[in-house]
Amino acid sequence: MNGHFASNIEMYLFLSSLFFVFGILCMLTRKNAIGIFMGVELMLNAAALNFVAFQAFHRASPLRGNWLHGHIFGLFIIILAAIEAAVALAIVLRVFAVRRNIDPDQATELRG
Amino acid sequence: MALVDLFVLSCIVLGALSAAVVAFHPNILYAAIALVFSLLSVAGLYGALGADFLAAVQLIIYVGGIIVVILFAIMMSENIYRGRFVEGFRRFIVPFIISMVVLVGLVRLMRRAGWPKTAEIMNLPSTGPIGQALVGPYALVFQYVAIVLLSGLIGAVVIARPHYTETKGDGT
Amino acid sequence: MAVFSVLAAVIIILLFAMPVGGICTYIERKVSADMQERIGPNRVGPLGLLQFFADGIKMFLKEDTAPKNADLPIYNLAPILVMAGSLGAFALIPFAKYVIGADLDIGVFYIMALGSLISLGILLGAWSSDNKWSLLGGMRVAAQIISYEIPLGIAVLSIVLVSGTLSMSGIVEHQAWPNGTAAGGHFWNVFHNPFLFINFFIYFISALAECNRTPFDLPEAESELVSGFNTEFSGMRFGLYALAEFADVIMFSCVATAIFLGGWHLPFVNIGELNIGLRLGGHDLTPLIQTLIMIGVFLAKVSVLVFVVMWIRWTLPRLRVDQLMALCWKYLIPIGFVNLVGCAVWFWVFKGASMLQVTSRLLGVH
Repeated sequence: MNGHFASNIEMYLFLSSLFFVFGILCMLTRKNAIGIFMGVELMLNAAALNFVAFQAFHRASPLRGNWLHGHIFGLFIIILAAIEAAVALAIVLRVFAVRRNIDPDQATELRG
Repeated sequence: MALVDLFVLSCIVLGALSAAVVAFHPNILYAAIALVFSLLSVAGLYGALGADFLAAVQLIIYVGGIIVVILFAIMMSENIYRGRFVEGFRRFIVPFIISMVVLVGLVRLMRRAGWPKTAEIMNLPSTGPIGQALVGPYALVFQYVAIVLLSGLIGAVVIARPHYTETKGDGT
Repeated sequence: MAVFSVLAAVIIILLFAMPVGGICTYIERKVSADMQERIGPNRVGPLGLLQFFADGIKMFLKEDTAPKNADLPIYNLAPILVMAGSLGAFALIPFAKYVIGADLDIGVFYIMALGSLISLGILLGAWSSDNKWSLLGGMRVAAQIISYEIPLGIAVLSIVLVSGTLSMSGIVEHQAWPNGTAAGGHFWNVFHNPFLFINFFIYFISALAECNRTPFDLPEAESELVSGFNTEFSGMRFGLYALAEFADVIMFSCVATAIFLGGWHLPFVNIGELNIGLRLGGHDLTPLIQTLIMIGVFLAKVSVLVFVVMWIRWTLPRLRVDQLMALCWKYLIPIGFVNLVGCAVWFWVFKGASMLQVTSRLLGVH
């Protein structure tokens, strides 16, 4: 039923590697605090996709013991990313209210 | 080519292109919209992997919650450099090297690993087992995550609420 | 081969949702005219029936304008996102026993997921219009939609608790009336237990708020914000927004009918076992006529709900935005949670029996 691409785990793992690498690039090169946060989101998605892909290609039986461990890990990743988004963006709004710009390179009062 | 093949391939292409836009586009709003499309592609891949419940959760929480909050933050922190592109590519050199190393390492690991490469994906309903696991083996983690959510929400509200100063009467 | 079935489903959904959305605009104008003691459109076609057709042609032929500093890619994308969110749910609505576009295992959950696309589209449209009042309206709409998704979800959750499945056809099947007995079937979910009865109204109010209908239509208020987030959109883009709003109303009414009002079930009749016995040249027409009866029952219930939505629009005044938010967070969510817990307790005490079954067992009727 599945074709050549859909039943090959390397396709999903390659995409999650690409997401992870683009997340690293986004996080290291953005001049906007929200841009950095978007890189973090990309990396979290890469990890969750990995979990779900491995769950689908589990060796013994697809629902061994009927627990879907990979799906549950992915679910917790999504939930924790949600709360991290709320806290991170609250911090960004506070910093913006005080400094009127959210360039992380300029927020250097605590350095040294 | 089977339909599911075409679907998976198009999700992968859409995801890769959108992630590239997220990483490289100077305009932060366009990057946020590209993030929407990359999250949609990941939701499609969850569906293709038989994780139907997780695909819907991804759509509701990521696209409907996190992206809306990101867009609110972008629209409310409208910085005064709107339209001015950050010139120069020197800031890309070291991150590019790091990311190439990581990418090559991950792909080589993927190729040389001993896990099974192909399998028939079963599309069984996943909501029931996930629900039973959340009140079964994963009950403690469930409660922990609930406490983390509560404390995170309280912390976010405390950080982001307006701070009234003594000089103004009943501040704004 | 599979591509053709997908294409056929897409065309059928477009051919259903767009004309029905257009007819809804006509019906709304006639209903509002009736309530305001005037005659609605009656020039174009008999009784003005072709009015929506003329409106559609007008919208197609309008000039494609955009504000000077509008963000054009996002300006074009936003109505498409809203329309995609509204139309995508029509594939999951159970019109009859086997007439459903895609019987997903996560039916109701997927419909709620599409509501988030709608809020995204409206927010992006408001931002890209380069208009402060549009932005204000758009942010209010996004806040309203994501707030009211919570009572919506709680009401749907109580239904899922009682039905034991997320799939739409499964929920409708759960409300069947087999063997013509009161003790065997469940009747409609809205009469299952008193908590679900209240949750039906919570669902209805939240659906009104999700579709930006009065009394919750401050974001697109025609008298306050100069049409809110719709201001800078004209022609077919505005048409897409308006059609998406009506498609939203119809979609939420269809979902409410399917999960609360028994879908395609009639109260005392088991349609699947009606013996009609018509034959046409060797083919038994019974399943076809049963299916048509089921679709007719479903559409009749949906029409009643859509009429009630329009009725409310022209009867009640508009809520202020802080009253709107207070209603959601301070009233609907606590009541919804109490009802959810009440449903769970009822389910545990009576072992899943509905009010009707409990009373019939008490009275000894079978």
